[in-house]
Amino acid sequence: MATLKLGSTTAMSESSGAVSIPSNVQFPAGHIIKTHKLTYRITTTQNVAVSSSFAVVTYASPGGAMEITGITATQGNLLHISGYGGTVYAQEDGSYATCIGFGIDGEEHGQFHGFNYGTSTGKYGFWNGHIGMVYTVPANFTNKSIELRCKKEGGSALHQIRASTGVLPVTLWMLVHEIQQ
Amino acid sequence: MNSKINRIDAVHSLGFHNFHGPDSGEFVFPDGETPPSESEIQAEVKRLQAEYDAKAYARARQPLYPDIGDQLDDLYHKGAFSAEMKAKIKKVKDDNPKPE
Repeated sequence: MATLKLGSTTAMSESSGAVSIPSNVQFPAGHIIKTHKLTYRITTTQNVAVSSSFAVVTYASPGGAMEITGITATQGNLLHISGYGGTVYAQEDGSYATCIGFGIDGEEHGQFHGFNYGTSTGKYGFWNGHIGMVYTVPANFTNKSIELRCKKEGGSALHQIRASTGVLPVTLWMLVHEIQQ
Repeated sequence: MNSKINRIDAVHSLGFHNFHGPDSGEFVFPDGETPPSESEIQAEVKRLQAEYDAKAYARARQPLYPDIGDQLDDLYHKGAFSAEMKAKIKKVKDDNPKPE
């Protein structure tokens, strides 16, 4: 094993021909220094009911909760958070929107809102559920969770998020990039 | 409404409008609300499916009727359905009979 030191600090090390850079080495601003991902491949129709609480989108097996846990990031860096939680759907509701977004360490971040002007029978709204956002890491961001969440604004109409016929088989996903600043 | 009635449709039809969760999994209801039992949900799925299936004739007819604009234009010009329009509508109904 060999090490390359700058002063007394190890900048690179080698073991069995593999060279690695230790985590204490700071990359220039703009570099992605860490990634976290989640994927579920859904092959048969699954619908998920949406309530007025901004809840984590959770599919049944082979899916699961749209949630990445154990995220630790450095204060001041950027998190680029993106994901696809399925197709957003509202049934015969001309009054209330459907919202999808992220929960970051318990904090709500709405990102998209679909609204269907039709209330009569057979008037449905379908929207693409891809979302993304940028978040500046606060102090003490250690072992946190980031979730993809969905809610309806209110009312009694049926709202859902779906992985269903027409898009199957579908990959639901979340990706978090930590970008050095 | 979906062609294949699912548990979400059934729970919604039973009067619960604020719950979340996957169709084939566990639903979460607001605190203090008594959720329906699984047997109540399954009975409602069965009822809704029967209701949906019984309307197959109406769904078959709908795209076959003459265009609404053509029907209204016909009414405007003739003051009543022409024999020709009446015959078109009747043919759709006859070809897709409502079950007794």
